[in-house]
Amino acid sequence: MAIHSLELPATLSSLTTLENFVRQAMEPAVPSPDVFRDIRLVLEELLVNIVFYAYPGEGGKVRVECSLDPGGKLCIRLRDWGIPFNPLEYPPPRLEGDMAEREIGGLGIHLVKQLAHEIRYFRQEDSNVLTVCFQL
Amino acid sequence: MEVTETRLEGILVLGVKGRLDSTNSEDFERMLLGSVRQGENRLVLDFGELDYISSAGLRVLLKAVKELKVSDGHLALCSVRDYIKEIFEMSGFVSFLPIHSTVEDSLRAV
Repeated sequence: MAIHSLELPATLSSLTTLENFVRQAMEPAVPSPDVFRDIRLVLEELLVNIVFYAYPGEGGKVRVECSLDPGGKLCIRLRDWGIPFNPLEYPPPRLEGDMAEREIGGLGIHLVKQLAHEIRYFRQEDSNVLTVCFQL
Repeated sequence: MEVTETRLEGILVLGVKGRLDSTNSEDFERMLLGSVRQGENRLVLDFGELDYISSAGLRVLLKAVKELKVSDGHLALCSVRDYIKEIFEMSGFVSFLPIHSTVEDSLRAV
């Protein structure tokens, strides 16, 4: 299966382009468009992490690749060339207990972990590579 | 995102339409926390026409709830679509942010 890829500035304003790219590349192969609601949320949370944690205070770029394997697994890979940042190591937010003690951060990656079926991180040379997969 | 303000039985109801995400959560924060800081301590958010929320939007709600707690205020949500309700459940927000089916129920609750 062909891999579709695109490179974008790592800014919040790239969000719509990123979503549209994945949707347009994958839509013909996807049986139910419902999965795009989850994909949209995952893409936003991951892009926000790259903007704020991989490139704090400076610009950079992000490369997105998406593909669908014959088993019906849709995978999206995001690569950035920022500082090493593994969102999977981010401490999980407290979901129970007193609301007043609730941390403001950590929610985004928590949602990603809930919505994606698979999530993998590795540091490759000078880049962060994060792959999320959805079973269709 | 579009926000409409209505006052019902003296309570401020904010109707949020469209997407609440990291590109517009700061605007929403200014609006919601602005109202809280002006002394509104009973608020209802009508999410009937909200079709997307990300953690950026959730964070604004958490901040508002925390500020309201100080002034013994209350915030309630109503008419939340099923998919968005799932996001609230995943985030654990349902334990401190009540979701009602109708505006009327929310008005009674805050």
